[in-house]
Amino acid sequence: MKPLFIGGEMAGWSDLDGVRGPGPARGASLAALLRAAVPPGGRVLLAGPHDPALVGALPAARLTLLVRGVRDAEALSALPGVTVCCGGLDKLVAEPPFDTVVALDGVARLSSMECDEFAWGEAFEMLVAALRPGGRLLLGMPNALGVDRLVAPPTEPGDGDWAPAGEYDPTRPAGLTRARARLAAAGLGVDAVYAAYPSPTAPSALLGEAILADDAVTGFVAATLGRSFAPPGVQPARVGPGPGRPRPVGWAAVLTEPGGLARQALRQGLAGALAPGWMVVARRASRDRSAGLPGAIVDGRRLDHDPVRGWVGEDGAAVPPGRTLEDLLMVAASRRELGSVRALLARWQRGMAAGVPADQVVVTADGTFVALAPAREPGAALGKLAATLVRGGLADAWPAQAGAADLAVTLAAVAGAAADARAAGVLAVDGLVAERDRLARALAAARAKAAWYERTLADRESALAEARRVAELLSASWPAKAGMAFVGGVRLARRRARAVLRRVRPRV
Amino acid sequence: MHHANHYYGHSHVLARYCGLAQRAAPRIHGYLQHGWNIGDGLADDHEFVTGTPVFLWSERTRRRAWSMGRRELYVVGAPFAYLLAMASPPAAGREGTIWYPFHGWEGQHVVGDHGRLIDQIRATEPGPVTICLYWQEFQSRRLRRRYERAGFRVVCHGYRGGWWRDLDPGFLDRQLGELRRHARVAANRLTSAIFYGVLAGCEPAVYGDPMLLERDAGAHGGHARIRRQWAELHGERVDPALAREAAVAELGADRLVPPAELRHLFGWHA
Repeated sequence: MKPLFIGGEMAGWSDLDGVRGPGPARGASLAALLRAAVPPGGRVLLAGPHDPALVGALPAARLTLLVRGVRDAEALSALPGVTVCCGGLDKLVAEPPFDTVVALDGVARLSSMECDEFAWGEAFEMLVAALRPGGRLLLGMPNALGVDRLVAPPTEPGDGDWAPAGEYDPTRPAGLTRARARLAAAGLGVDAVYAAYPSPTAPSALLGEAILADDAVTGFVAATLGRSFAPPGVQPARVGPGPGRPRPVGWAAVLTEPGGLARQALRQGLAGALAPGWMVVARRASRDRSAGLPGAIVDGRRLDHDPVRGWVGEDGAAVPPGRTLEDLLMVAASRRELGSVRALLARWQRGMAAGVPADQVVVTADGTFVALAPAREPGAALGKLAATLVRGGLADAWPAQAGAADLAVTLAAVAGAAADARAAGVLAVDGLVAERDRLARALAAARAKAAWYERTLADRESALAEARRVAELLSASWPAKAGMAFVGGVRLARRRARAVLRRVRPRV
Repeated sequence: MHHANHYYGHSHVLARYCGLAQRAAPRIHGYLQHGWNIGDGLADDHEFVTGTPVFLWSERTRRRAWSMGRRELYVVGAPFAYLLAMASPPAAGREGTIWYPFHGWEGQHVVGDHGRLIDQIRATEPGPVTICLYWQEFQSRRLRRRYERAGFRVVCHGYRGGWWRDLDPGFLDRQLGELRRHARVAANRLTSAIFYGVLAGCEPAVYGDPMLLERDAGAHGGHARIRRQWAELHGERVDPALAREAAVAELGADRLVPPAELRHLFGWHA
């Protein structure tokens, strides 16, 4: 069916292609959320850029898609059984209310450059107005101070940021607490709020408030946060030395490694507050009804809490309780319980999980190692742990002053493993600064050593010359000694005579 | 900087607004939008050097240009809006319609039937009609006579100018004068002239064969998009309040910049 041009459509523009923006809301986890949270049947509005794959994930329903780019509208109109509206949200007023309104990308890309820019509050009001009483709203909310923003270097505004009110928009609720109040004021009950990692548009993990607060599975959650930023097998973006100047490590275009910061936030109980975004599931009704909604979604797999078995995946597998191996190693290293460190390292490196990074291994109460990521090279896993120890200020528990690579080799020796340990990952800006400081210290030490060698060498040389003279004197025959003494006397007499002549006839 | 800054006496009008009294066209340090369009405000056939400031008429055009990758964009409003801000109040008495048959510019060729258009104008316009032709068409004696034989008065506002030759500092003044003599402004396509007319107090109308250009690429959605996006401005009768709102927005008449700031933006230092 041809798209309906409702007004405010943007000619030649696409949000779906990701060329001039972050691309559409997408991924297996958002698809799982739609399957769980959108009631089957009824009329559904999908407002803003959503990956066509998400449309397929929706339960059978009468579906209306709203996009602003003409190119997107034309591409989406090829999908079977959907109505595609192209233009600004404000032009959708003629539509009767919907049973479900989905805006996983949030409200920022519901404004068109052909219309006046809406503030967050205006767009939110329009979405709520499009919802029938009792209907469900799924709304994405990016966090202006999320982990992804905290680690980002200064960036130029893109082609989509023609009027980026963003965090200065006074109608945008500041943080989750005020967002809840804003929803309540609009007559909505909040059924669930998920912290979205690693980005608001393409989250692999959607973590409900209960699982974030559950100490029993903190290892699993920490591993999930870390993995979301660095999925196994995906190389982080590298900047720095070009192909002509090979170096062992480049540096990533981040201020600090985001997975580490997210785990730090989790340790402080702030993983929800500092999430890159939130997905809010609400209903236009006074009472909340969270029944049937997942407790979390990780890599497209839903998790629910069972009063007896704890957190259980949709396939029936229980989430391993416990902390990560990395956490346990950091605690032991910080207390200098090197015996415990040695034992943990040995079990890890001699077991099946040797190639799994320590932050992706959960150690359960009975001491079982549960790997949450596929195994790769053990050397790289040791390198990653070494980098974490260096960042945590624990490198000096062992003699390994030459940085993470050196420490990785030491750790392999401590573990009694034959792994080809090496530095892994890329340096972020904070790592570069620390590395610069370490190199400056190493250089100062090397210079001091060189100066000391120089002094020692000079002393040795003069001692050696003296010793040689004595040796020569002692080793020569008697007439030779007399001869040397005579020649020495003649040379002395001649030098003295010249000195006297210079004084008497200074100009000759 | 660019010769197009002096089209239609634009730079002269702005110099007058800024209190600069000089005969030669003052050099604007940047590129000034010279006509209403639905793209980035710049003309497709003009050389544009990245890093040159661009002075645009409206906020919508700025947003659109930004989305197309342009930067250093500043909204100053249309020179015609400045002229109107400086002009003394109009003399009373407006009569008839000033009609702008859509023109191509130098090097373009319009295809369409002037005869049918004349019949339609006659059937639609209640009072006397003034036809304003582009200078190229005005030079065609045959075309001029055709409109005159239909009982219309035929005028031309002057030369557009180009490459610093045939500059016409009085162009917009003449246009304003003519617009203020008429109660209605009409054309077969929505163009700058319609917005100027609305801002000058005329009731607008857009109807008749749009006389598409021979090789109209339809850039940015083309004529079909203009019809859709500004549907309320098309027709023989148009809501004057809606038209005024659109004209103010498209000409940036609500975003005029004070003289001192404009001098600074253009690099005009006394």
